Amino acid sequence: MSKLKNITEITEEARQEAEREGRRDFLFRLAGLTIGGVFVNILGSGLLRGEAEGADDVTPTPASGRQGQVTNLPPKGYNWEDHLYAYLIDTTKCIGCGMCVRACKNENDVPDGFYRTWIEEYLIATNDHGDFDVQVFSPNGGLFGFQASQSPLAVSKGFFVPKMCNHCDNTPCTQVCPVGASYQTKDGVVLVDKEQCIGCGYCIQACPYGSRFLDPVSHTASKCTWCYHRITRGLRPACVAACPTGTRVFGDLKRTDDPVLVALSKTRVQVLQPNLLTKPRCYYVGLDLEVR
Amino acid sequence: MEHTKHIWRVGILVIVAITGFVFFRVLLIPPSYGIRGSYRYDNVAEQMAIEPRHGEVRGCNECHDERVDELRAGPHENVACENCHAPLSTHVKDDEKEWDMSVNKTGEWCVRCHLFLPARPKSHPQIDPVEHLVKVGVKQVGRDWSDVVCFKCHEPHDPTPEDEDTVASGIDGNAK
Repeated sequence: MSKLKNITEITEEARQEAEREGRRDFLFRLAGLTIGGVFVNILGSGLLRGEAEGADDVTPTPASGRQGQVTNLPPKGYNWEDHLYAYLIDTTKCIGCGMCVRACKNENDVPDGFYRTWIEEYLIATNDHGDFDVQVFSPNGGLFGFQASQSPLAVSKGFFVPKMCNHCDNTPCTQVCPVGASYQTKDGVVLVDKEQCIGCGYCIQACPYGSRFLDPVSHTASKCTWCYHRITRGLRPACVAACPTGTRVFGDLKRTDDPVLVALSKTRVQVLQPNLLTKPRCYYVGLDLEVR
Repeated sequence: MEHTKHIWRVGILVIVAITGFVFFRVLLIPPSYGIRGSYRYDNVAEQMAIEPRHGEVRGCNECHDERVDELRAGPHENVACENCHAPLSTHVKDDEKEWDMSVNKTGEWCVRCHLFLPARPKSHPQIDPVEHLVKVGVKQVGRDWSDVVCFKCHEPHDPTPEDEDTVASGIDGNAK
């Protein structure tokens, strides 16, 4: 009570003086903390640089003692600066056999009911007003192929659209990751670090293409990697290798004779949802108005 | 000088906080984090180290080059071996045959690509299985074509029938 009494007794001038004094102290303390924080950050990152040997080696090699289950190391001398991968899907060639979905599942142990790549069947009929009636089917993501459709529409046109992660250059999914588990490699592939992922699901919501899912086994985000373990060995992604019609083409834009690069320069290509400015590196040929 | 005591206390607290921060930072952040960006750089090598399971045609070619050549000569030239057979990793271990290769020989598997669907490109060969079987004279009951022997007329590596007449003369699909 006495304190309160004292305060009320202080004159207006004195109170202002005291406030100014307090603010000055506060500002000094703030400056001190800021400088301290910067110092700590520099120290911290300096320590990290010191620890990580071979930081200038361009070929990614596991740090010693942290290899764990790694059995067969990828070919040495792979330089990710020499590649920029891209993917082309010619929907006019797709027969909807679903071999790609099956190969993906076999190659990557994709859990049942989840798909890193899937096929959508579009059946479209023109109605009386010149509008379109559209039905889209994707039974089990196309894993078991497609059966004769029970659609009531008098189908005037139909086509299959294979979908997967677009490996965007301007990725919404990696930007929202709070723990740095999702990232983009220098050769243009978006990957998820299972060890770092906490399974919060922000990236799954951020992806406008629905390409990510929460793995029910590991409880981490999972998605298409363009079979990173295959493409860095010079193999094609499993889906591309399985495609019997040449719908799926995999390429490296840093090669001059690349099939995707040739297609990009010679034919009219589209990307999914270009309005979102995500800059996908997965290009489509023969998309229709209804495909998002 | 009796008023400097609290400054020393704050100083000690700040030093403790800084030490704690540095300690936990080093402890919590993985070693390779931040080398190339805000992610664990080791993960790139971990992703690369996963063992491929599909060998593609070059894997099959090592031992079965005559079968591959046969396939390449016919209309199934672009069909991957591992589509109807199984991934190479189920057959080969350390470049040696370890297990028998499985193969899917059901009519259901043929129909997966060759069933008539309105969404398929018109240039792709497609059939209505019931209609097709009636046309070539194969007796088949119902719409279950899992046991249909497409192989009676079509050799999958080179599926064009050798003689259209023998195909049309009639084969009992249920006889084995």
